[in-house]
Amino acid sequence: MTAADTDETPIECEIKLAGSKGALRSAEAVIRRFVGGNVSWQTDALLSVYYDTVDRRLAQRGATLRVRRKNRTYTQNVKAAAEGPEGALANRPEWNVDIAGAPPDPALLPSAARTRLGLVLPGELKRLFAVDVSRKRANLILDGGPDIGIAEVEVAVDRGTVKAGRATDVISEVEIELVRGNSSAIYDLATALAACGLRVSNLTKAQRGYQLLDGPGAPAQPVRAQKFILTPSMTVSEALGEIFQAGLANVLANEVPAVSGIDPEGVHQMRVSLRRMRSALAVFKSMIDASGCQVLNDELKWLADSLGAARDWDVFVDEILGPVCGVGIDMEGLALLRQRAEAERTAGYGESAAAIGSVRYTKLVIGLAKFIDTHAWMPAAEADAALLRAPVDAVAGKILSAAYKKVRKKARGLRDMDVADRHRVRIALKKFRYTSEFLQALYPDADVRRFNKALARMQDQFGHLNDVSVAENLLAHLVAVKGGTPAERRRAATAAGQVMGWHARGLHDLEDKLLADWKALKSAPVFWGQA
Amino acid sequence: MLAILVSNAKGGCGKTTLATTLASAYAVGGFKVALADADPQQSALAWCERRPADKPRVRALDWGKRIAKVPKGTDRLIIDAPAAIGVARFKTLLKMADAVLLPVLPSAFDRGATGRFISHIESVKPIRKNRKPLGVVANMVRPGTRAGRRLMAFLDDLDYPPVATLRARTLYPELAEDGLGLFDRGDKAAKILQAEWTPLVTFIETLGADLS
Repeated sequence: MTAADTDETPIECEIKLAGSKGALRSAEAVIRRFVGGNVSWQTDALLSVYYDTVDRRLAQRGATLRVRRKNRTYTQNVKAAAEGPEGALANRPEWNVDIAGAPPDPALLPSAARTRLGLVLPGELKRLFAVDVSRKRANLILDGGPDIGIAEVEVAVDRGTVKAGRATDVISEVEIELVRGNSSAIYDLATALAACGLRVSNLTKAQRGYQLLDGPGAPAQPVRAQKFILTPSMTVSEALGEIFQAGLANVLANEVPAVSGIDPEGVHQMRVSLRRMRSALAVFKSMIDASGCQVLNDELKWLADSLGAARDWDVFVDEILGPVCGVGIDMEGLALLRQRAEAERTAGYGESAAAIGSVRYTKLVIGLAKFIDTHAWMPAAEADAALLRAPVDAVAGKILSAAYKKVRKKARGLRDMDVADRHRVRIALKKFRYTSEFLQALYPDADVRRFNKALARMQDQFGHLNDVSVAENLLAHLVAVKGGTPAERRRAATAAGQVMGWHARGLHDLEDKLLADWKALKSAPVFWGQA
Repeated sequence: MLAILVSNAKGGCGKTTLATTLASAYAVGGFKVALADADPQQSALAWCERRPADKPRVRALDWGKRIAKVPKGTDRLIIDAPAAIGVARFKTLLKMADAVLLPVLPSAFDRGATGRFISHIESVKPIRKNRKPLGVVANMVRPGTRAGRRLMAFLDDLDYPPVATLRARTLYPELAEDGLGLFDRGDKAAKILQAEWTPLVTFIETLGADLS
């Protein structure tokens, strides 16, 4: 009754880039240059019709069902949702079955595919939208040299439309799929294509269809960086893979919100993910191939810095100017400060948008995917690599102890410390926090929670100190902005002084609390067993 | 595997027919389906025995005395619970299930008994916390009758609007007599009735889907 009734789940592995029609034209030239010779393209007209039940049950289950006509043959295809975080690579289980004509028939599918669709009653499937593309396809043989070897890659350049009722949208994208060999090849080709202005796209053709049906919905929401799923039996290398995979997925998921700036969380969460990846590189620095990770580290820092101004002004407007309304500060001067701060924030978002929209960003994303897929952190020497193949819980305690020791050393004599030294304690504490963030998944929840409570309290204390010192700099910057009448500038300066005074007023009272919280943290039992 | 418990303390509300019809739908749809009979009357088991050999298979499991093992590779499990079930037994069977279907008839007796049953099983944590969703099925409804309207109003008051409304049809007992279910038939009369089952299938097939 079914074709190839097998329990195995075939995985589709491809990277997709999207861009303008012009970008697609240059892409073909880039591919030719990349191969170093003529490419024999084959063009097919593909008409894919997507089906779902009236109540969109398949979509709710994260599955898609389509029948594709190519020349005179029809293929029924099911794709299911990916398991785990989705990175730059499409990683969805998929099944294909030949079918006699256009109407779909779930009964012909292997049982694994049918289970993903769920039960579909007779007559329930309705045609939703159609994707009509002209696909130029070529198989490329890429020689990556003695280390990487030969890889076979399929490239498809799709030009066409997605149509739902009367609505249409343009499809213009390149898909690169590894047929066999080392996956480095697809990333290297993708990096070359990024130069023509193509960008990594996670949106499937099916998603484009559903979006077209439903119209522009609510703008994309920021996605919080998730807790890591580490298990004690995981090797250090596997743990690194998890950390970077989660980081990449989160960066991609926050692209749109970080550019729009509707919600400050977009930029913030992307920065959190970038920082986590950088601290992973720092924490395992002595074990990994540090020189191989240097470029990635620099690029992650570049992106984080590019988002820095947007984040600083978000915090400034919400947390420094936000609470001081109606506390006896010169209202006109405050309004001027706010106006200038908003202009700075807009400029900061301009900088973020330019970075995220750049070719450099796309290359970073592709580079990160390659880094993950090729385990680029592995040192070349086998003796060094063995360390990374050890279970992560064997080294986690040592790493945490070392990082915590640094904090305690820096914090010695906290009571009489000046602002600059306290700033260093704050940084050490923050670094420790990031380290613990991805290793704490290995320890009992209750122990972690108890320790983190004391840690969070301490960080809040320092955080406030830092906010005040950052506010001081930003206020000074706003006051120095040129323009406005001398009277306006005077009022802005006065208001800035008052804002500063209001925020600094609590600092003295905080002193005792800071020392008490530090004492509490020092005596809190550490969750990794020994300090 | 997804397991559905069909239960109501009131007898004669169409539990077994609901269970066998669902089983037939899954079997015809190409799913590996098992029907577990926890009712001492064993009418679901008898249905499985009557089922013609040329029809898509429904595995019968006898849970009359104890919960037997579910065969490996089962995609969907339908559990037919006994009438007059107490909270303790309900809890035991619920452990094996992901959701509960509760058929209720439009009669005043059934409404009262169902109200009491729901208040009893709401004391069970997975039901109260909606970890195992409870779907009420308005069963054997005659459209346009006062009893039908009263049933809807009653379920609305209980805060359990029906996940599906199934009409009374003699076709159901006729099919059951031959070990068949509604979905074994492809004729027009059957197809019209099949459409009523869509919301019920959606209830089951989207369990947990909102999490992803």
